[in-house]
Amino acid sequence: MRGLNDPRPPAPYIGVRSYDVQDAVLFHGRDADVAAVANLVADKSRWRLILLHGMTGSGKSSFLKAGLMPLVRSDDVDTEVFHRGGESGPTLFINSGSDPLMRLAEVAAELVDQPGWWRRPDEARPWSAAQVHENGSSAEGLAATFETMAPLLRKPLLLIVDQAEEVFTLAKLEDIEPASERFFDFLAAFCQRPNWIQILISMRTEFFGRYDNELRQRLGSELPVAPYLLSAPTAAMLEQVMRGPCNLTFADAVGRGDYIVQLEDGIEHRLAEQLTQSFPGPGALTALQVVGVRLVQEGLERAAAEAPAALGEPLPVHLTSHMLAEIGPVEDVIEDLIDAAIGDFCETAGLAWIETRRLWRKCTRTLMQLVKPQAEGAPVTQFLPREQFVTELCKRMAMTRDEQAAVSLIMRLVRSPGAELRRPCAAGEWPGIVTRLLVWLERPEVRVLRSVRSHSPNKVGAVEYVALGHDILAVGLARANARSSRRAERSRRIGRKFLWSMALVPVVAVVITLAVTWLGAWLDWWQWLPLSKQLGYATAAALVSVYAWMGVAIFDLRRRVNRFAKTHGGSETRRNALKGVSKTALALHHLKAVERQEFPESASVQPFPGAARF
Amino acid sequence: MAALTPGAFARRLSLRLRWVNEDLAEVEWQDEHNNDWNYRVRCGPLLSLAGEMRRKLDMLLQAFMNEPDGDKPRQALRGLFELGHDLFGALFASVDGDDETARAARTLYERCDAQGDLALQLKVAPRLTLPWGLVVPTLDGADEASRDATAPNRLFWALRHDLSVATFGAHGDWRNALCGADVRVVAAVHRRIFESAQRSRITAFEVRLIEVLTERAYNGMLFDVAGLSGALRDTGRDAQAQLRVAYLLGHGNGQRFQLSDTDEISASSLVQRIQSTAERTQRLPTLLFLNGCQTAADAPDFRFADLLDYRSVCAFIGTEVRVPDLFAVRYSLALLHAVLVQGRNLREAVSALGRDHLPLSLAYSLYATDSLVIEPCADGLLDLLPPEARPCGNLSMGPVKCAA
Repeated sequence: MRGLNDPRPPAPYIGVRSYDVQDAVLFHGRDADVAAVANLVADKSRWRLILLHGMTGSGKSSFLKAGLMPLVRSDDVDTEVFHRGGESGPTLFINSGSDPLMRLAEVAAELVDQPGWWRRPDEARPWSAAQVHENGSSAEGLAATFETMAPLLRKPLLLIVDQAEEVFTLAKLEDIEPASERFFDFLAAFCQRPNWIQILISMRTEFFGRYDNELRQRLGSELPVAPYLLSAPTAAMLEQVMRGPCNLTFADAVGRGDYIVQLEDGIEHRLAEQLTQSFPGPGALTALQVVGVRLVQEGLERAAAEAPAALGEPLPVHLTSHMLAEIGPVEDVIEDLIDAAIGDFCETAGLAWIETRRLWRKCTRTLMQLVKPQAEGAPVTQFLPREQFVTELCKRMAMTRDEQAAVSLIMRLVRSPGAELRRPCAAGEWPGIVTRLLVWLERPEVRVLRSVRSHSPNKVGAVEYVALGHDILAVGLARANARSSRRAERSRRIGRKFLWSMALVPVVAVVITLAVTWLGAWLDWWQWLPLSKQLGYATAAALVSVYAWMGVAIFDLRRRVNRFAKTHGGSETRRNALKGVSKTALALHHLKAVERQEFPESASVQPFPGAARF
Repeated sequence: MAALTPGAFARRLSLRLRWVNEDLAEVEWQDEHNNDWNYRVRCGPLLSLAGEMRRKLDMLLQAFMNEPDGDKPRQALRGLFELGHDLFGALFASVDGDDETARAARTLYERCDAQGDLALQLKVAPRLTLPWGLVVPTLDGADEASRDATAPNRLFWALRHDLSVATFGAHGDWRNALCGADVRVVAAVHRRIFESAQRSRITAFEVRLIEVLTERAYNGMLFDVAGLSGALRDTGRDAQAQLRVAYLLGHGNGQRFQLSDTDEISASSLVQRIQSTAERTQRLPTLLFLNGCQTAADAPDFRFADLLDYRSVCAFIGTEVRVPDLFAVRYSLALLHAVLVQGRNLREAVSALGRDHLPLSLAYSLYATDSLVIEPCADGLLDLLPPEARPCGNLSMGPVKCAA
């Protein structure tokens, strides 16, 4: 079993979550990128600012945490990276928000308070945290603060500002005077004060041009700024990711001992090709990780069943193309994995899986509103004020009482495991439950929602925004795309069928009735044929059909028609018979009256009139 | 920060020199006695000493080539050593206001073992790429007789003390990505230099080495200036190529580099030429061996060592001063043999060649991360080379000392 101090990664592939620092050993395929950016970090005198940009879902956060950060902190580059969390929770860099200058001022104040960053931890700093924070309100002031601070730090420092596009996107949402002006002023001032603090700004590619333009306007063409594009994963990169864990030993979570992963020749190539076709651009990497998890599960079960490992030897788990074919389409694998994750949680919490899954489906529909496809199909997340999102979610999740109870239990167990069951909440409480559901979705291990708190000068207090977490974005959108396209196509098909069927019902009914009537009538040819000799073929046939359609027994009809014809003549009979259904009813009534008048004795014994002629 | 161990000489010494700002650099001292000290020094004296050292080195090499056994080389060598001592001493001139740290720095300097073998490892920030290979440990602790830098034993010790220099960076043996099978080499050699060297005095071994490298092992290697850009581009297209070795041999003057009679480029033009290849190529780290006069020297605007700033260049070997062409050809072949055939670490290879081919080898500086290594090709190039013929001893001696 895997002990607490076991440095090995828990599994060869990470699934839907993103890489963190402890996953560095599994992070493959970006070695050249990592080394190139680390070299930019190493030369602090030349590069003051590094602009790392890439498409949404191209793996910037993973790159920073599992790729760049370990190498930058190694002896080769020997630079400290400012971050929070890390040991037990996820690593967090400086989240930009709409006012990154304020975030940086907070970081500067935080540095002052923590002695571990300083060369002489015991000595008092020349400024207090409050002073530093106050200096941070102006661009020049903060740049000067960092310059003064730098020589006193224990090591060179790299500040990573993540999600830097929020300078533009959030400011637009808040309808406020953009804080970007002050931020770019600060960056320009920071670049003009060379020292061993560097800033790396991570953003989406579509905003890189605006950063570049703002900096060039302030600094001219001689920029101490290094841009770096993190390209979307290629097939070759995916192959490396797939091959990465091959020589490592992992511990099975269910206690089947250690195992090593072995790939069939060429399977990584086939899978990479398949994924790059199914998920062009971002998303392929996450999809690969998901498929990897599923393959390893399958392989572990087979390997444990077929050949138990020798004592002390790790169990070899072969991943074959046959298994790849068996697990089915990638979208289904992804969905299965998410369902399994929910299922695991429900099992732990003792919940009804079906109910929870249904809730998740409802929730997902609302979450998908946060995804917007851009040009060339590249997905981006939209920010939505939290209140608006909650309202939408409440509207969407018209929960039953049982569902409310399930969600309530989820929330309680997530927050305080082992808590006693409480009876289902009242209907009025469910917006509160939705809020707690959001809390659960924002938890780092779930990582569905990303929440941003923004301080807007035009509004009282902070405004909270939510966006779809980038890590599930690729998978979620891929799934949504595939599902929605399939669903839309199916809906269109069903709609067309319905319309056609509605239009065809009366037509088909008439056709069938007529067909049956005609068939019945024609089967009676030996009976009505003599009638046709009196009325003509067409008239006789029409009469027979109409009366048959009206459900009038044909047996007596022939005699009546014959007598009516004798009385009124052929043309009158034909006219009455063919005037229509209503007229036909009148004609029938008239016929009966005539019959009663002229043939008071029962005529039922009369044979078919034509029979006498035969 | 551990306390200084009294009475213990440092024999294995690691110094990290990090750039703090325009004025300051930070030195981190670590030795075998678990001493770990940090202090600040001024950048200005280091930079001015570097310029002076290059001038003295140039004097030494020119004097050696003109009159190897004369008195001038000895005098120049002495001057160079004194500057080497000064540069080493400047590393311990702490500017810190704290008296204790300044005293400790001085004590550290005095505790270096000036007599025995001293293993000195220097790791410097890219901005501080000075001729660190010429640093000579202190003479302060030595007796009067050994203070004479030109005394044979002292000369021997000063030239052969174990000194390794590396720069901060991330292109080392990062996950052993630099597999030998993935290496592609492109080489452009000034044809006149190459032909004159071939006609004159390169050995049979070296001729065979060129043939093997060109035909068998690294078929990307070509001795053609015109095809250089194309070769870089083609190499970059290969997704498996993890490292390129771009080897350029021509005439340099610190500012410009002449690849052929008609192709003369500046440092910035060379950057453009490397960067003008496909975008994919830029992502691939390249070892740039710029074998021409003064290619590692300072320049007012843009020096060739600044190529390290570009993401496509992971290591740089250049010359601090003027070198004769024939020596350049033979030295480069010896280096390619050591790195590509024998699979030696770049730092070790340059260090070993520096010891074997004194004093002309002092002109070459390696600016790379600590453990950059190119694994040799799997099919064993050693088998392809004639075993009876091996590189000769000191390439500085004999006929090579005269410029071709």
